Amino acid sequence: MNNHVLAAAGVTAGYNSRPVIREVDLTIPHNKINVIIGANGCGKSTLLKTFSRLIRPSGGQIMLNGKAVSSLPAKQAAQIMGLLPQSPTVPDGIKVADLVARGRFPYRRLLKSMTTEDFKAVEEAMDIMGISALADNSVDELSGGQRQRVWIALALAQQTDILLLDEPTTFLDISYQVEILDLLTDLNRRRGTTIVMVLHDINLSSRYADYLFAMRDGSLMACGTPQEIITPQLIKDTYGLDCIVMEDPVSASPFIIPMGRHHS
Amino acid sequence: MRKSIVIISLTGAACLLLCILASLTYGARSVGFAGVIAALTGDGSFSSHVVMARVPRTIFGVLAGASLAISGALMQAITRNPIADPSILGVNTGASLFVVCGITFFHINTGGQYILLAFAGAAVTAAFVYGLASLGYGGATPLKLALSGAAAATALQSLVNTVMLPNTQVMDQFRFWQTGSISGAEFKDIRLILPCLLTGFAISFILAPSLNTLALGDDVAAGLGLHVTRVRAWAALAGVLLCAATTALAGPIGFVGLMTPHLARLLAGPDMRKILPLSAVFGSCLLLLSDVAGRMLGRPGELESGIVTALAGAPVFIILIRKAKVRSL
Repeated sequence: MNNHVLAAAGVTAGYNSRPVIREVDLTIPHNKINVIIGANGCGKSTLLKTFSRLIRPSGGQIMLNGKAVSSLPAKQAAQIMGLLPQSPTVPDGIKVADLVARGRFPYRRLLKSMTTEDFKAVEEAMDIMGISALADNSVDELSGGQRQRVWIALALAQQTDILLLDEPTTFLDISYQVEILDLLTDLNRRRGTTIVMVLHDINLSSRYADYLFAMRDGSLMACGTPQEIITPQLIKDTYGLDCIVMEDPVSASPFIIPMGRHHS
Repeated sequence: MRKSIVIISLTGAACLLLCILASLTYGARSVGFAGVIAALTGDGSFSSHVVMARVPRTIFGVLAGASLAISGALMQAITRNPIADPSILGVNTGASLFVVCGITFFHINTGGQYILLAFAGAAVTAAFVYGLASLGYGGATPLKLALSGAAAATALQSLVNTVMLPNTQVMDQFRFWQTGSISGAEFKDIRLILPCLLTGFAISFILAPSLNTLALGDDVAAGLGLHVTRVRAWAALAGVLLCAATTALAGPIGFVGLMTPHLARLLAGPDMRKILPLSAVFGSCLLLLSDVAGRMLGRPGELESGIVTALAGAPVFIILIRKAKVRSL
């Protein structure tokens, strides 16, 4: 279990001085699975990137345990917070184990090679993601689902208490989506890793999330447990979509069924 | 895996040794292996003088080849672009333009001034070409980088010609600036650029793990606590330093930095800690072989090694850019 508290304090951020998110205030509950949802362009990825120090806020601060993240040395922050961005680059011909081992970068000292501790962390990460058998395979040869597990293993080898993931299930078919979300849940339950991710699928989000953050036009619309906040009105407000909300027969979480012009 | 890297390193070292030997032996007057031995024992014969005369260019060939190869590997790593290379990006043409201008207009004549001007020219060109390629959608893609590099190189080359051609009496003296040759190297020149080269080598080897992290994309790298911009800047500095110092002495030699990192990657995988030293060894071999080939082909004169590397490098360039295009589609 960890007690790192990640929070946004009046954060305004965007690209080229054009703010995408405006004065966002929120605290990420620790040891929980947190999912940010919202329509395309609402600023959810920007918020995640600002959390992970990829974007410098033009106003406000990202706070980690009450201190501004920007005041922490980058490697030290990277030992607490890990990030899996949307489209990472796979170096040509790299082996699975070598790619996962690059997650140990924040612990590297100048001119030192990998320590036994590093190797242990890499093995453990591959084990959790179920890719130990693939260690010597080339990443280019893997399926999309396997490749995503390799990237998550890299983030795990980083051994951070907070894990930020930007749409980790996009481009995966439904079985891999469930598999990835199950693995992340295992991680959260076993290690107490705080997970913050952006997801597109509202139903999977409300099934797997402990907390949901719903965004619209760069601001936070609502936050709370899925049971608390998923209502037809919220979906109408965030996505502009009419829907009915039922109970997921499997997980008892809220389940939305969209309507459209031809079906209502 | 560990074993194979040992084999690769040993093979590389053996190749380099053979290339050095070849560079000492063959030329307008080939002395044979016995001549090399004679020179090493210092018997004062004619053969040994021939060999001794080839020692500086051989040493410079080793250093220049390694520098260009590492410079290419660094440029490929920072731009994450398989076709980056000092010659394709026009960087060493920029360096020679500055040097030629310096000689013609400001009558510079000390080695230190050559290096300074070469460095300035290389840095300005690198920044210009990268900036040009970054314009428009998608940033500096392989194709756009190659195009802006080619455009800059052509423009700069024509400027070099403009400056040099009217000076018929000095043109011949500067001819090697246009094509690149390691034949003119003397010990005092090598001693002058050696600190630049060593600094460049040291920076690149220290940066190798960071460049491995950078290869995962800017976002992943930043998430792992890498100062992306800082690492890029240092690597660019080292790359430009290595290429500029070499160009200051040899003129623009193309394609060494393009080909050798790919060969190293093919043999040793994507780890920069292996790619850098292996590229360096292959770069030395390639340049020495090109130099020897130039001496053999151009008998009784010589063909500049820059021409030979271009002959060998052009097909490789075409293969690489085709591969890069397919991947970016």
